[in-house]
Amino acid sequence: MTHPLVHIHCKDARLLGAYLDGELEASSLLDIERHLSSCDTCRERVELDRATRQSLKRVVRRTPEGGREGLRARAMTAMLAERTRSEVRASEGDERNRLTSWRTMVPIATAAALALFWGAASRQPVTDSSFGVRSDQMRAGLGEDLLADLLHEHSNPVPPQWTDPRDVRALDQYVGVPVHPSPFERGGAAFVGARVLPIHQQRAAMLQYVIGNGAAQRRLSLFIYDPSKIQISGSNLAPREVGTAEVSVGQANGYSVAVTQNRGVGYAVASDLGPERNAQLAALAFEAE
Amino acid sequence: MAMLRSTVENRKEADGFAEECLAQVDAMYGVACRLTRNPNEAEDLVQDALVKAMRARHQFLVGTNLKAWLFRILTNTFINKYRRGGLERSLLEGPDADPLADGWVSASTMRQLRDPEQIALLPIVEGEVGRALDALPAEFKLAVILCDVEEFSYEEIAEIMGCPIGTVMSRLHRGRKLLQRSLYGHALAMGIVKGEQNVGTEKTDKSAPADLSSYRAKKRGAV
Repeated sequence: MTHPLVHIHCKDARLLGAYLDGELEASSLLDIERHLSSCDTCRERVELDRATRQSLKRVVRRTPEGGREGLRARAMTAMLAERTRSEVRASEGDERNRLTSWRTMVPIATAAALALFWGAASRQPVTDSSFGVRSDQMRAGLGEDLLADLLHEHSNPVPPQWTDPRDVRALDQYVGVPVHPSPFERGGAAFVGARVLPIHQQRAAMLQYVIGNGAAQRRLSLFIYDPSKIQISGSNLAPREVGTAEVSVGQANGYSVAVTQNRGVGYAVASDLGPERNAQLAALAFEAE
Repeated sequence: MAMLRSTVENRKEADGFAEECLAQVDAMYGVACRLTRNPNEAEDLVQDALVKAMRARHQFLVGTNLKAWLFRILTNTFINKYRRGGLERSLLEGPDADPLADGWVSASTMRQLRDPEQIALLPIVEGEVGRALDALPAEFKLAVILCDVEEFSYEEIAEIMGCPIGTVMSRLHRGRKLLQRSLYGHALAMGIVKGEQNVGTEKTDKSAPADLSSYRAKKRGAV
């Protein structure tokens, strides 16, 4: 009695594929090997199959090289954005944890993004020890001043937590100073939403507006904070007077920030509308109740 | 405070997850390029798949094969985005009706196809490998790439493609046969191998066109 595979039918090459794939059971494996030792055609078939696989590997891996590093950075940015979105969804599901999660999330997510970017750029794994070191280095590189932080929050805004302007007044309990929607409507701006942000271990309210229409539309961020806890100052701020308000204006990366304070409440306006316009808007905030 | 610490720990885990996903970008991109046949679309496909992976990362079982999981997402994204009817439709329309005859080429011809030094196909044939791969129906192409290039097991490929293992084996078998037939036809047209008359079961080999362009036109018509 002979096993059918001993006289393997040469037309049944499917088993030869499974043989090369390492997917055959021990008994079939022996049968195939026995057959291969006596059949030139099947042995040649296995060799050709093996050669084809080598060529396939080379062909598939020979993809446009230039795109790869760009893709890595692009994919990473998109993944982190997705993570932030999920975290926003998660934090909005839990009212009580909202502040804790927002105070901790933004700096950690930022540090994680930087560490990942470094890891991707240098093609080295990001370890826990390099994590801390690298984010510190990056912090220093970005500059310690609040101005850079405010510009960063404006240029990379996270979605608002509240979109009804009537809810904005309730933010005072988080920020420690009264928060009013600013009379920016007079300047043609529309309220988009508000959120609480951690700024240097403190909290600030961020009110987002848009101004203008269509292609001319610009985003506008108004930060409201306690100036005794968050002090925005520095040599890169130029003082100027708008009406009764004293406003300091700083510029970076095409954006400008106008800072002012009134009755113990700090206001900072960030936009790309130019220092002049920003100063006027900060003065409007200054006049707010 | 305990809650804060656990949040931080979760985040570290999530970072590790993103990092491990990013380590698969090159492999995913190589496969995506072959599936979409367009580098820009391949980049979009990989990015879409990775974003979906981030969104679904709580569904990933730690300790299981992340690469297989990512390729499953990549495959599903490709099917949903580019092939609304799914893979099955082209399977029905594909060359299934034409059962591939085996034994259409002798051992000595197969030997001529290989480069004995590099144990790979002759360079001139290798140039044709990409085109032959592109010409495969998507479900054969995917099975062949997942197995021969990415070296997934049949079980993993079945999981990735969402089909039984038997179907994986059938797709692999047909895909490889189509590929080899295409390469053989090319080698024959280029005069790399001598045509054989012991082929018997293959009419196409006997009537193989003499020049490359008519061979290609014929091949396109056939696939």
